[in-house]
Amino acid sequence: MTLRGGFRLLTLAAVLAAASGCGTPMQTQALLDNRAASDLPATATNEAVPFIPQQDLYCGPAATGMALNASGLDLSQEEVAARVYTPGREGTRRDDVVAAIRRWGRFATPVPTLAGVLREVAHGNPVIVFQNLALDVAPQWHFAVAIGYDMDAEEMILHSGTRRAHRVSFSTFERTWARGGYWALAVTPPRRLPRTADEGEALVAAAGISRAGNADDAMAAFRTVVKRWPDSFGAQMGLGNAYYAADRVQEAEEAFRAAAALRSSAPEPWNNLAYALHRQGRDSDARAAARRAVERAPHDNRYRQTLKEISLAP
Amino acid sequence: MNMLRRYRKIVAMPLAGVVLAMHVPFGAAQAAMVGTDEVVAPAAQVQQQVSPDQARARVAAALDREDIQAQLRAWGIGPDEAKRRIAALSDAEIAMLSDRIADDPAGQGVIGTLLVIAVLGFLVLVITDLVGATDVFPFIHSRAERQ
Repeated sequence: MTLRGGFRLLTLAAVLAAASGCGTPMQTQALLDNRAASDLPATATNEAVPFIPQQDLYCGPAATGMALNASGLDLSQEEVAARVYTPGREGTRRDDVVAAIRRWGRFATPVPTLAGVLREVAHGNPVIVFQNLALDVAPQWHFAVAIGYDMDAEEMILHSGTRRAHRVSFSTFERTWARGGYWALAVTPPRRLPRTADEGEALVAAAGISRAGNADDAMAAFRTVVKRWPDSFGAQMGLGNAYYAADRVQEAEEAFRAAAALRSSAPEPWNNLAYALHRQGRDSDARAAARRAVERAPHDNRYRQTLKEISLAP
Repeated sequence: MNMLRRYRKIVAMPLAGVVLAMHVPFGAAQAAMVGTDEVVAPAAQVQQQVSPDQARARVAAALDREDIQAQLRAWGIGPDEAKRRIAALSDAEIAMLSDRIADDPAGQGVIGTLLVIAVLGFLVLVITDLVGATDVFPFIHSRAERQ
């Protein structure tokens, strides 16, 4: 093939690529098709999300800061940058955003659909979105915050970079967001869950706060999950552990007993209950609980160790 | 870096097996509270005893945490801060991250445009070359030249 032939082929490829970009992307199409059946309001704007114009390279800190400040914090771009920005990459990685939100004691749950993003926004929750504003071959990675939408105009409203309440068509937004792997996080304070989170996502988020946040936020987060899913074994265990870590051992006892009642064959709640009772000085109750853990998992060395430890302790 | 990490993972598997086989108390998890992550992680939702698989995953996660922290320090993040960032992630999240950290995309926002401008500039020059307004690329022959 001659160079000119090759170039023609390239041109053809470029035209095809451009043409494929002209169709309405899938999720946008589904959203518009289902509009009549949807209970989403026609428009929404979340005034509670304060705008932080990004400094050079700081779209990550700015977007994270806006979402966190909407939930009652008052953080500067620099304070957030200290926890999310990576100098050697001259940018912000997504995991650091998740970690930082947990460290500030907030829920962060994934929102992988356009309809989900709109639903969160309609419920007043900011959604951090990760986009590739340019092309796969020359990516321009970007964090922004979805703060509103307009169904009639088919537009998303974003605090993005240095642009306040920037309007972009659903189609263009979806394409840039799809190139970012449909990555988005709804952010809420520990007393309120993101609207679209399921039980598993809520538990992962609350467990993350437990790992990284302060004890008050961890207890509040698990209380919120228990309230939403009272029959959640994981939520009761997490709540018990959060209370135990804060030395509120009677409340921990209550939660572990609730977990044991929810899953009668599980050794974990009895094991943890043994520690909660032991710390209350109720040693014979503690030993009885430890024995019930061993009965439920006779071959697990861990629970035998617990029984031994509690029996030997003064 | 990647090679080393893979190598360590390969070593971690039999190591975890050996540790388990010897019934040596295994980290702080032995005889202690069952952690929230252990109950909440999808793998643990099906209630079960601590299996060799879980224990192996725990050893691998500990090694991954070391590797990722080293990478963060190499990228100019202080050791304490690197530790805190990693501590906020669960073992499952660490496992996913360790496979992609080297080429994990980082959001920059408006500055990344330089590259875009360079690419656009290239395309503009290609087009201007084609119509004969410029003559930058030897492999493009404008109509004017051909005639």
